[in-house]
Amino acid sequence: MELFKKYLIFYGKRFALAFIIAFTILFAFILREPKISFFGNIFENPLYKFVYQQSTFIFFIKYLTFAFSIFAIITIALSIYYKLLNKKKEAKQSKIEESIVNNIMTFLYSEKDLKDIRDNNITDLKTLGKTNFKKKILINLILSIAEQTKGEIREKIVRLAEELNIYAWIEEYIKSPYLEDRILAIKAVSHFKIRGFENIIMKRISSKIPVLRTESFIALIRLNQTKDLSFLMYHDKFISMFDINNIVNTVSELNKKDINYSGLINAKNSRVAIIGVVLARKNKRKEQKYSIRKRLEDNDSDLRREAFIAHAALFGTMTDFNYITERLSNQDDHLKRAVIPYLSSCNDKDLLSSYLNELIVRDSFTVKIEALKLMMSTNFSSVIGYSKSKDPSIVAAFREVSDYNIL
Amino acid sequence: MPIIETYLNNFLFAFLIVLFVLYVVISVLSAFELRKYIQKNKYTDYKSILRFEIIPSVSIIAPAYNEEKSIVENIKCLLSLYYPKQEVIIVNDGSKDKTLELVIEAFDLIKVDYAFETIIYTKRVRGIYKSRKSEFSSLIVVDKENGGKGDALNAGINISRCDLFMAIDVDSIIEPDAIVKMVKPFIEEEEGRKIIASGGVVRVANSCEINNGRIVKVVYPKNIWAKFQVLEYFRAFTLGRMAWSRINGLLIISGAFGMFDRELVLKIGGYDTTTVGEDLELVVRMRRYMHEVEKKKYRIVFIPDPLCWTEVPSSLNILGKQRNRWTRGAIDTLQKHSKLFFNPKYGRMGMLSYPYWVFFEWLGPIFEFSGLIFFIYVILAGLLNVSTFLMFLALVYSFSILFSFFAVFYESFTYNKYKGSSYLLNLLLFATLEMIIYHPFIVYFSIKGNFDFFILRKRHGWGKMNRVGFKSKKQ
Repeated sequence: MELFKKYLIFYGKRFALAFIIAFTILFAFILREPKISFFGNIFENPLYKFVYQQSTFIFFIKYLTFAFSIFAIITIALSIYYKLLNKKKEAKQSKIEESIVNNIMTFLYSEKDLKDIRDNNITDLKTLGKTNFKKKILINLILSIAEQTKGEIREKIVRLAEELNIYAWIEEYIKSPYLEDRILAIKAVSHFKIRGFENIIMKRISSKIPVLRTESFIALIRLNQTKDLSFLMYHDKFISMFDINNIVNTVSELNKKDINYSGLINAKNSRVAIIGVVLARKNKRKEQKYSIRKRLEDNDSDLRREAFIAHAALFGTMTDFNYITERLSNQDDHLKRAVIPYLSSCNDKDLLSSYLNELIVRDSFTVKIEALKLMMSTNFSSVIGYSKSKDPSIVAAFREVSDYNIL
Repeated sequence: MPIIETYLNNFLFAFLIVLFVLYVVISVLSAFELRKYIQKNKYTDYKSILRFEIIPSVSIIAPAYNEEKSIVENIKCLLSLYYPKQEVIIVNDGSKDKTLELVIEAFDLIKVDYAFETIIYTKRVRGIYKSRKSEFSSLIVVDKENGGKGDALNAGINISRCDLFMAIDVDSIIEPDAIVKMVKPFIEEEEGRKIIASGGVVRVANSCEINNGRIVKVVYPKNIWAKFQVLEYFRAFTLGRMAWSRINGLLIISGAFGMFDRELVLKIGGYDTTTVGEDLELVVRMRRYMHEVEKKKYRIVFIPDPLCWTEVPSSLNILGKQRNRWTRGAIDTLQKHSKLFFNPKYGRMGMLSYPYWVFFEWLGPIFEFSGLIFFIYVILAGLLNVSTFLMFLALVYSFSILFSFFAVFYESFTYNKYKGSSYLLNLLLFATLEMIIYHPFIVYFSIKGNFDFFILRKRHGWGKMNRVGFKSKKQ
């Protein structure tokens, strides 16, 4: 019923707006008619006597002026109305928030058992479920506490959510026509690990609305939709850097270990592969060497860069180093600059110095600087020689790197 | 009426109708775009971006010329913006006052051997300074010979090593979360559609209370000309640019506040230093490059959040100089890129944005002025039909008020930065007075700009722009 009401209001507002616009246009034609027939009834037009003598052009101009003036008055009224409404809403919201926070804090930090507390606090909080406005404030507050807490307090908050039966509200919100309701519901599902909405959320990872997609990805990971993140492997839509970062951060925050690295890195979708590569690097999954290598030549420049970084960071043997540096030469400066700092993991410092020297002599100015910076930290003594180089760009790069005021 | 007068009459009427239709379309499009943006970002946790693994680095480039009054405070404000991969590049464009000395002293700067390549030609860089204090390690101060705003920005772009750069006016006040909000569209890039720039709303800071380079209280300006400009900025940014962003037809990102893909800007040779409308010209050239060379889909995004506050001219004299410069800059850019005019090869830019700028931003005031001359002629020739005139006046007046009220409504409904009901009534009053008091001056300044550009051939001068300065809370 609540959901039906929401849809009614949602489409009702749009219909009302369309009706006003249509009526404004139609009214111009109605005014020009002496009599109006409506469902078989004929009405006299009382305004006809004012307009019948006017030419269509003059009537059109006057009518537009009239319509603009009326709309201007409506706009002023709405501006004042929303200004006052917002002010009232803010005051009301802070009052309700204060009351809810007090109740929740008593619930969280009271030494009494849950049953006693229920009598004192839960009943008060439950009364908030009567209006949509209060319900949203309550869910938002519970969510923000859940997001910021861990351990026992978080468990208590989850229990409180159960006690309040906010799950019933979630069902209404997740199917709501309003985007903000859907996002709120997905966040709640994700934080309180509410089961039963996985299919709806799964569809939303392909939504055209970025924020819905992001929250859906996060929710599915938190819900542990597939233990090893394999739901991502079959995702065939483009994933933005914003979503990739959010996915990686969520996995890291949850300290998730059961990840199908190989499946992700070898995924057909290069954006999924980026997630796999970054996670493999962060979690030092050296066994993924050959999967990562396959991605060094990928067409997706973001994936290629992350694969190079992961390879450079994880594998430091001579063979590995030679493998990556041979391929690095063909890449653009942007990628080279991003990868150079990670080359420090190379076990053979002479080999590293020799490669860095190659970059310093042959590569572009910005690459020279990055190479010199790394050389400064790995083989300080060999850097001094560049101060006397015949290449002015090397001397300039050396001066910068050796200037201790440049942090 | 003789035939020529009839034609002129019909032409001006047709222009009026097209203008009305266009403004209605702008209002509708901006309503959709604004709603979409607010819905999309209402629940975005911007702080999460600070913890991201893969994010672009950003250089904030702020040219400074004779800014000794506020430079130290302004730099402190820029250094306090939060973003994990950022550097602040202040380019002292040959200031004649103590701008550089004050900065050196305040931030304990020392001349360093910071290496850079002159990819874009600029006036000579005399030195680069870094701070000896680790808390200011992200600050780079460039001292160069005077070459104008575009030249200073180009020097900053040369020195920057970041993926993106944010060009700002050093005396603007930037909200702490501005970089994060401006970067978000770049990391939200959709498949095959490169984001090449993002622009943000600029708001009027006159009379606002400022403390430590931050707005602590938003106050509606007390100065009459600033009051009109608040309304003008609402319309231009909240309605106009949002609408153009919706259809990916944005041709300008304000010189006071915009973020750009550095690599792309380097490819096109940076800012044009021969024009006073370098902000408009840069965006047009970036778009042309995407069409002509890269041949890739791209987007320029506009962020409706009020992220940048600036002091607007509070005297007619300064306002006149500013608008004169804007007009000359627009004409210069439109002339340089005349190839775009109704050229389908350039998509919406060629078929919509560019013609819009020609007919309404450049020629609009000329048509208005011609209408006035024609009106005077009609009176003198005894051809005026008073009732028809009053009827048309009422039409134009009611529409212009409606459009302004609409912008005020959007602001009240969305960001609602100015508090108090008196502000709203004040704004509504000024919206009704604008057409009588403010608008004629704006048309005059634009005509003067055309005159200076075409007749006097004054194409490059900025004119002296004296500012009152912000009111600090301590004062």
